[in-house]
Amino acid sequence: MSLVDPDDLDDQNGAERSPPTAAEIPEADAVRAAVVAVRNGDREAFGQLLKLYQRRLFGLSLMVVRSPEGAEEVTQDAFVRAFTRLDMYDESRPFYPWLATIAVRLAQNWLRRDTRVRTREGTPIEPERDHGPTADPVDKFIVGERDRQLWQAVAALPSGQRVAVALYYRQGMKVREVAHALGVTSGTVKTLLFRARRTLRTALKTEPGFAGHQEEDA
Amino acid sequence: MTIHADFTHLPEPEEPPGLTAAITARIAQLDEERARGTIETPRASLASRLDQWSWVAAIAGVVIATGAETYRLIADEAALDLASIRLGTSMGGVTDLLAAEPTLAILTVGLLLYLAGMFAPVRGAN
Repeated sequence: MSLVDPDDLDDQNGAERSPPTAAEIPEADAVRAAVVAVRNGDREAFGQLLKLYQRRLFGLSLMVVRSPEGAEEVTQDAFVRAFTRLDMYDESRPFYPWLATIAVRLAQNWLRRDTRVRTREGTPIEPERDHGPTADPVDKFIVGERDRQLWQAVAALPSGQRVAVALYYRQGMKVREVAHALGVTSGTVKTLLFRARRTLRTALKTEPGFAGHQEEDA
Repeated sequence: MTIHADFTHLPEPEEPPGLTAAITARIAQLDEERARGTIETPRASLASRLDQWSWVAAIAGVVIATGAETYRLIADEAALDLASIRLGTSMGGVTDLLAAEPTLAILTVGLLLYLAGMFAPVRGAN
């Protein structure tokens, strides 16, 4: 895994996403049309947004809350909230970061609530992950061994780093978009990403699926 | 291979089968409520309404009592001043009593409202 300079992060992501790919242009058009239709009272048009983003948003929520039930709850709430607050969405900006920001804030609330409940009940806050491949509920969603290792390594990160990694690397959002979603500065996001990469590199060094990968990057 | 590539190749987990239906149902319900104009606005419970009335009563009591006392001071002073011109200072007690009667009634109402307000939440909680 290569260690990218945090100062180059935005450029790296920006370079990947600008100019928009051929697939992104029709997606943006479809989103715009759906948003306009929903604002004009066509509820069915919201189905188009659901179809486009529900899997991606569920994946994001799952990576953040690490519980399929929690991720489902967060995804549902995020879409419902997006529907009720669609008037607040600025059409000149991309839709998905706006939606992801809603989901991340709901996921953070979910995590806080979950932590409170676990603390009250006296159960460990961090789930144990050394009980074999069936211990992690994410296993039923992630099939490949290598992918599972990466998911587990990300899941073991502290929540701030986990969210930053999920939004930046997984969702392809820019540093300033991640910063806005988390309510922190861009510098903080870069620090979170730097620490997360360092932890991931250490964690995955011991995993067989990533061994060659490490040597390749070294 | 970079961390970007690792994450790019990571497949999206499949969403639960009932997710679309659940979201659609919740949105449909919201939309219907909005159309009927019956979007749930949290209705105040009986206890909280009692509390509100208690606060109103207590504040009203304080306002009435303060107002009445202020009025009494001003009015009595004026009455005494007028009486002192015509009747002399020895008759001041008569004008005091006359002026105090309506004020006393208002003051009593204010005090009762204040006490009612002060004790109502305690009664409600029981």
